[in-house]
Amino acid sequence: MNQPGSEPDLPPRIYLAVAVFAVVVLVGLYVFTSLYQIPLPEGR
Amino acid sequence: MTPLAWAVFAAFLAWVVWDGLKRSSSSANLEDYYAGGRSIPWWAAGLSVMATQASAITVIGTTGQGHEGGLGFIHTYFGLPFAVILLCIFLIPVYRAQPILTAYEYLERRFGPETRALGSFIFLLSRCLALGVVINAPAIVLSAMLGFPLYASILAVGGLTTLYTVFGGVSAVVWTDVKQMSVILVGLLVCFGMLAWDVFGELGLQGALEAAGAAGKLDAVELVPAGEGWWPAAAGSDAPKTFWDDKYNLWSGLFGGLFLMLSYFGCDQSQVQRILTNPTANESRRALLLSGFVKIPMQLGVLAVGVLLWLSHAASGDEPLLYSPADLQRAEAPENSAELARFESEYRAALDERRDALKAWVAVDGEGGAELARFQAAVREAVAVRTAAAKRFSREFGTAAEPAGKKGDTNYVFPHWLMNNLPPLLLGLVLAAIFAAAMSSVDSVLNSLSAATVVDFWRRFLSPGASDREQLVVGRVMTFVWGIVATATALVLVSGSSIIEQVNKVGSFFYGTLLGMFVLGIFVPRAGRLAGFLGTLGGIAAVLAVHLTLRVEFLWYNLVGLLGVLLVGGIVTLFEPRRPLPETAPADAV
Repeated sequence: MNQPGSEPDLPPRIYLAVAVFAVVVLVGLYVFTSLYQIPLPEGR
Repeated sequence: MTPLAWAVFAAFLAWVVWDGLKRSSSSANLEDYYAGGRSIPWWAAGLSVMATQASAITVIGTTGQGHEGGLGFIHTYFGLPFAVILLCIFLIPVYRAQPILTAYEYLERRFGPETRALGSFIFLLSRCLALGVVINAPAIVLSAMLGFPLYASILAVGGLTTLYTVFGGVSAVVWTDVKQMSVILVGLLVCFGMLAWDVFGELGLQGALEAAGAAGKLDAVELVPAGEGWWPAAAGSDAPKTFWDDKYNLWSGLFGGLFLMLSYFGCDQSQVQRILTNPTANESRRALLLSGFVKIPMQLGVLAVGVLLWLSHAASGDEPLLYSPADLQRAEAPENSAELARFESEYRAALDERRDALKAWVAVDGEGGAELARFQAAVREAVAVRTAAAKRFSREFGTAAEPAGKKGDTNYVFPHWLMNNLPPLLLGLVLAAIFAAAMSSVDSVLNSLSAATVVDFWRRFLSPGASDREQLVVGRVMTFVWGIVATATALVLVSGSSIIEQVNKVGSFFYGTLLGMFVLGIFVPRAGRLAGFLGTLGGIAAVLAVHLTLRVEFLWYNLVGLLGVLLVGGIVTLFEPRRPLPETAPADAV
């Protein structure tokens, strides 16, 4: 069982990698789907 | 189903149960039973975390949502990667500083026994009833598709899962989840591949994307909220939609979703328990970060299966008016036959027009204004006819007074395709994946409900001096009891009791409050015993007040609960004299 201070925390670059990956996925998804999105007109 | 499909399906269930049961000898005390002896590797715990979240409702319901509404549901997960980062930085050190077995033990160390009991009770209340739905919803669909009674499906999921969870504890939960998650992923990949082959062969990749875009199936990132105004409308009013009740947009996904995921991954014992099973805090962090990397792409894949299925239907011009066999049978009754025939005829015409308009739109490479208008009008017409028919005949899901209509029928879209398109071997595998998804969610919750009951109540208040053997026996008995309760709840839900659904809904309102208790404990060092307890009640009151008076989308309830706890807890802190907390119970002071 680990106790406080018994091991160094994960390096911040791992958190940065997750955050950057998430942003890239979001932006990529937005850009890619925007290329094909055509809003449906209102009403029947 | 053919004998081969049944054989694959049965073999998988037998393998999972055997795998869970064989771990029964690995538990000598509660530390083993609820924390796996703190020896589970991060990747296994991480897959188990994902398997718990990927319930059968996810596999069946999300593909159906992709079919009906496109990629919009993905907004719910936008906050997840950021939530797991925050949890790794702020909450994991708190959980792993002491060898705790439930998240709520921290609340006693911080605020005293009554706040721990309240936090644990909130978890038990919200989870035990939700568990009935987790078993019941896929069982309804599976029994309809497989043609055997609903109670048999419920007993199979509830009974088999309870069996291996009782004996194997959290080790059985994690290692069966790993296998179940693998089968779920393989099953979904096979379906994705088959549908992509079919659709891209018919329309081409470019044509498929243009058709999906024109039909509104690619609205994955909505930057601008659809609502008007920034002040929420009164509950039950007919006022136009506001920012707060627009379900899917970037901001509700990022911020509302952030608080939902913080609560779910950080304060719900059914998830926290897995990150307590790893040898070190960093292994726990890696287990959580796995979801941060994988969850959004995976959910996109699940929704894409639904979109591909819609494209397949649109291109072939062949799609059922009603997917639910029970609803269809109801519609085919002699007294409804004339009405059904009218719907069928309108729908046939709408589907033919949609297919022809789609081909025309793809033929002009997405450039013709007239072709686009024709295709979009045909899409709307087909939706309108199906919605009207479902409103008239669908009685599956929802309540007797307020049936879910097309929303409920959507749950049958994916299973219907499976039953009619997969070869026997794959059908057995994918149905096993759906069962696996139900079991992998149920087993984690059973184990965590047992942990909260035994550790936070029985051992803490009733029998602090119990031996390891006694504790283990009680742990197993409580897992069994919760298994019975969950299965019985699922069976009661069969009668469509609106009371249980309402209680279940109210139970899920408390998530933000749970998050608020931990945030108050970690970030407000001066907050004392009274602040913790009254803050919790303040959070619950805030969510109920908002629910009763304003029209606010569910995702935001988590933020409301959090703010309620911080506001009331903060005010009480200003006036509460600082007193030391009583000693922690001996059994917990490991």
